[in-house]
Amino acid sequence: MKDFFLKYYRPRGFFVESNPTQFYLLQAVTFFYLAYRLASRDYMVYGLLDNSFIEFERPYVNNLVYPISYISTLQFIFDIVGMPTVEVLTVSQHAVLFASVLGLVGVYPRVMARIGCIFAIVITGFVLSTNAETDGGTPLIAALFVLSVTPSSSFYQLFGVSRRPSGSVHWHWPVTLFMLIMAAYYGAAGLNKVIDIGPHWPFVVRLDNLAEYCIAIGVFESSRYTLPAVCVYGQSYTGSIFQGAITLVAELGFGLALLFPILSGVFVGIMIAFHLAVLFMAGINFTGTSILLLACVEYSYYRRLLMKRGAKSAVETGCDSSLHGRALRRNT
Amino acid sequence: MLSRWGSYFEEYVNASSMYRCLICIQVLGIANFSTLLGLAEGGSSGSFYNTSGGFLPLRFYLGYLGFNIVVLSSCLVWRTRILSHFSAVENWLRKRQFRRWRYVIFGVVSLIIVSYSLKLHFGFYFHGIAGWVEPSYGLYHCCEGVTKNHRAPSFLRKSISAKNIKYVPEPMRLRSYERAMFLHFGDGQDFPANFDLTGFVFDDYIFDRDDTSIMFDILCRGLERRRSGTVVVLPDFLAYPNHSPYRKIDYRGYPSCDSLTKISFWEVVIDVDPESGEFEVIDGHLVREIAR
Repeated sequence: MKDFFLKYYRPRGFFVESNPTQFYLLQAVTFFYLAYRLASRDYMVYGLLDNSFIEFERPYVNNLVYPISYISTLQFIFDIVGMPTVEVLTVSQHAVLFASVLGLVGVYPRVMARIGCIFAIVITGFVLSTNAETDGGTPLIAALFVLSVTPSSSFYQLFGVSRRPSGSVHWHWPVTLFMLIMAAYYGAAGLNKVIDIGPHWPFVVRLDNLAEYCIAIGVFESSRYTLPAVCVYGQSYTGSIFQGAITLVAELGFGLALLFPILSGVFVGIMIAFHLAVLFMAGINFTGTSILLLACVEYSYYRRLLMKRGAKSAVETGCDSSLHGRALRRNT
Repeated sequence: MLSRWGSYFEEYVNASSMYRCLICIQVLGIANFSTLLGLAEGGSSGSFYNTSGGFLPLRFYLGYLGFNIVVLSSCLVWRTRILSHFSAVENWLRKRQFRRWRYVIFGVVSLIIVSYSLKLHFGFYFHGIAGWVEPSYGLYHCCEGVTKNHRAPSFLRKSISAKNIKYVPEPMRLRSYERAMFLHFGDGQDFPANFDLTGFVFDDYIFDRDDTSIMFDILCRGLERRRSGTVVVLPDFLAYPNHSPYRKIDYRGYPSCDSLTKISFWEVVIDVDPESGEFEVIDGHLVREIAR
């Protein structure tokens, strides 16, 4: 354990110089995911509802005397000016979809991120006010917010050359901030499991019951989406304990990826598998977050690690050609 | 005793503003949850969302009350160490270089702490998915006492996804956990449907209301879009599913919504045999019907 700590403890830090790969990936996946959501989901349907539907009645969303989301998601505006019509929402959704495509190809990406962020927050307000507590869009809003506050010179851009007067730290801290938000997002979910149910959560979560649910409702066309072909492998209690334990450890420990970059790929892999399992077994879709998680993997660290291993084996075998040779030269 | 509390108070007043804020947030959290605790004991019907796993609201609130108390106690017990960490953060914030972004990062971290400690749902960020467990649904071998109802409408067969019967572990009786939904058209045709047409996270919020005028507008909008094979821009098969996705139904052969006359919801009981893939509708009774 001590060896692992000494060998792999590399705190990420905020204001450190780095290459742009991870930030460019964050930019790309965020705009891609925003565009994908807007090209797929019909948010215009909220234009059919009148103000009587804006209620925030779910206690999990509103545990104060007054729902704070009503203010923070700008829903109070619609009590003053009336709910937007289907036509207004149609134009808005298509305009923001276009903006996200522009951001993806690098046309005024920071402006596009700000437009997308505000639209996503307002849409989340509609979702919450119609008796939901989330629609899986929180990580997307977080990513758009991070892009909104990043200096515009850090983005890849279609027109113009990036100017970076302050050095390349502006590629590093936005990604670290996004990873921190994701760590808090997953960490809170893990902590809630411990507080609501207890540290023995893996033993009582009973995913085998969920597998039964998945298979039984899979026979009816009116049911939530499940994939019985996957659920048949989840019918044992032992398997449920194992999956529960892995989930809890990954959720609570996601923040460790900020200290031990070698764990970033492992935790991201587990969380992607977890999102897929939740979709296939419970019919709840968080899978889009997996796209954003790709920006949390420390590719440059893994690359360095591979190069180092390559160089080491080249020295051991006396081979100084191809990849091993190049790796050796880069590391010496 | 009093002098000790006096020195605590003096320390608190002289401590860093961050420390004071953290203490205040935890005290507010305790006050908020104490109020909610009273509400839970006094008037709650026990239908709090998180009760699906068998928990009472009292248990839920007590858990978070405990969290606030633990954090507050830690702040008091390890105040020297915590204060030194806070002064390190303050020094970090005071650095001139990248100060603007240091404050952005600090603001985000503060919001996360406030949101979690007070259980505030800001919409754009919230205190995390609640803890959950899966209860025993008892879906296998349900309704053993139900006898064959020969008057059950024949169209109920259309609500069965025959290709998934092979995954049921053994021959058994099953009941539709969610109500089987049907669209009835003017020419006498009946087609299965589901709430994927609407796009809401929880459709019961809209569809369990007495005012049914809006329901047809919502369903027709969804149906017309899916008949064309596209929801917004992407083809239906490529589109990112809703947060609460339903089973994929191919609506492209459905009649136009103009001729939609009725929506009905049924509880269906079937016998299935996974080996042969055969099924038989044993019973079906109408739960709700909404005429246009």
